[in-house]
Amino acid sequence: MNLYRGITSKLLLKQSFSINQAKFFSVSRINFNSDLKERDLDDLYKKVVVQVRGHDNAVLESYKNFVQQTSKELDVNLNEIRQPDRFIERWTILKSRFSNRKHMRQYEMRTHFREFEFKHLTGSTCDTLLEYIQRNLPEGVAMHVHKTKITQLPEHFNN
Amino acid sequence: MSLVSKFSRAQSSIFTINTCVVNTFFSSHLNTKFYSTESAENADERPAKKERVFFREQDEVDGFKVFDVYMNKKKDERSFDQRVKRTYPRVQRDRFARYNRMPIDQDWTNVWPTASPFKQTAVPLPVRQGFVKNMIENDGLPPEKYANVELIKIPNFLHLTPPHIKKQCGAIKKFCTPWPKELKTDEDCEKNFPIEITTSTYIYDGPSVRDDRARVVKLQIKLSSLNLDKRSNDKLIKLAEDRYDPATDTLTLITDRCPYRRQNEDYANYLLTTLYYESKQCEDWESEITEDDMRTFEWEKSKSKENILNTIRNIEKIEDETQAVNLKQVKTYQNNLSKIFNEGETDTNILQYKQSVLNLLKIKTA
Repeated sequence: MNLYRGITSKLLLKQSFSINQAKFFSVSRINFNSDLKERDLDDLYKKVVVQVRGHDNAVLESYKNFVQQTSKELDVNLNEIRQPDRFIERWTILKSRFSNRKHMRQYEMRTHFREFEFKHLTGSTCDTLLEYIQRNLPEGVAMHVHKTKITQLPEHFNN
Repeated sequence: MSLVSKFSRAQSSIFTINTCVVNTFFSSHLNTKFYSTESAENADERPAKKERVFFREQDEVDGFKVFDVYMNKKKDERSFDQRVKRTYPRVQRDRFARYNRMPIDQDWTNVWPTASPFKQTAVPLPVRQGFVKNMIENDGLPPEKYANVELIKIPNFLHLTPPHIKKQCGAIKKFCTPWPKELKTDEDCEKNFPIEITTSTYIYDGPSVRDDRARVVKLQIKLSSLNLDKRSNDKLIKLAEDRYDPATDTLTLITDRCPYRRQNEDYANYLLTTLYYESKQCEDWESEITEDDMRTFEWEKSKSKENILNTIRNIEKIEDETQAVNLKQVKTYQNNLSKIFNEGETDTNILQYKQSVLNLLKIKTA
């Protein structure tokens, strides 16, 4: 039942049902009120890892400076900036479409990385920060975000 | 090449180019002038070749000729030859360009408010970009910003300068909330909020904004925070199989079978709940657990304890079992034996075990 209530409250949060509809969904009025309290709570993110990847190292470097200053202005805990090794993908292929085996060409594609590790963000701060730095992502740069949310044990874990 | 020599070389090359241009223009002009004046009177007669005159007569001061640096093109005077096409350096030509008319104390955030391709007229910086083959091409310098495609290709950060960031962050800072003071360290977080749920987002240039990997949810929890008794703990670890990492005492559940993240998160929570209650429940057949089924070596239930107690009672002539158990050599033997089974056969563990056996059986070595 708790799980059901939890799901119901999440549904309410996401789709903003009217109270009448919500009553219909919830088990009782009292339960609904307790759910209301729950949904006012903000998420807590213990760690947010943002990885940007692009073919131009200089662009990533500029983006790093941008993120650094942003976290400073927003008072966000930017714990660590890492620079993983670049990845090179190579193709060795014939110069001609067919025949002329002796004439080969080598092409390569390099991907550079930067990783930003933010620590201890509330849900709203995390949303604000990510929205801002994602909107200002330069052309041709990809971003992976790994967010680690922390939660309490559900009520039915009686200990 | 040193900077000075480079500079003088550039200077001299400019100088030679200029003189050449002036000379050719002047000489060609002379000829045409000659044609135009004399052609009316005597069209057939070819003009006689005149001696070339490059410059107006130079002034003399104290017997020295004054070198005319401006090549007879002083502004205050009429040019020696008006039809000479003049070449101005770019700086002079762009005197009225936008970037040269900008006030130095302007607000850059108003000039370049949002992301846009590079526009050379709006950027008051002498930026250069591009490739030169050798020192001869373009004086060995990368091409300047005028009509430079390379500068348009590369993403610019002219809309993300420090004043921009300061201004924009100032506007959005009201949406940020402070982190609770009670949760200063990671240990505090772990203590009060034991469950960690990791989700991922992927952004890249693609035909769709959705990514399949975004649905995956990883739930992690330390088993110690579940406060289970030893039997339930062991049962949970057995049920979890390779999802439990004994080194960090962490249970990791990765769910990706549902199409949406929220469904996967709910499924992970469901799995955790089920594991918890299943391990708490004690079935009848669980009492039949044997030594082989156990995760770790347990002295109390082992055959080895029985054998050792029999032996030690014969050696020490003790009837009481509890007295035998509490003997010092038995305790050491118990510890060292458990170490060998639980931690593995290392050199020190084997040596300790050997010593404890020798003590137990009262064997004296040479």
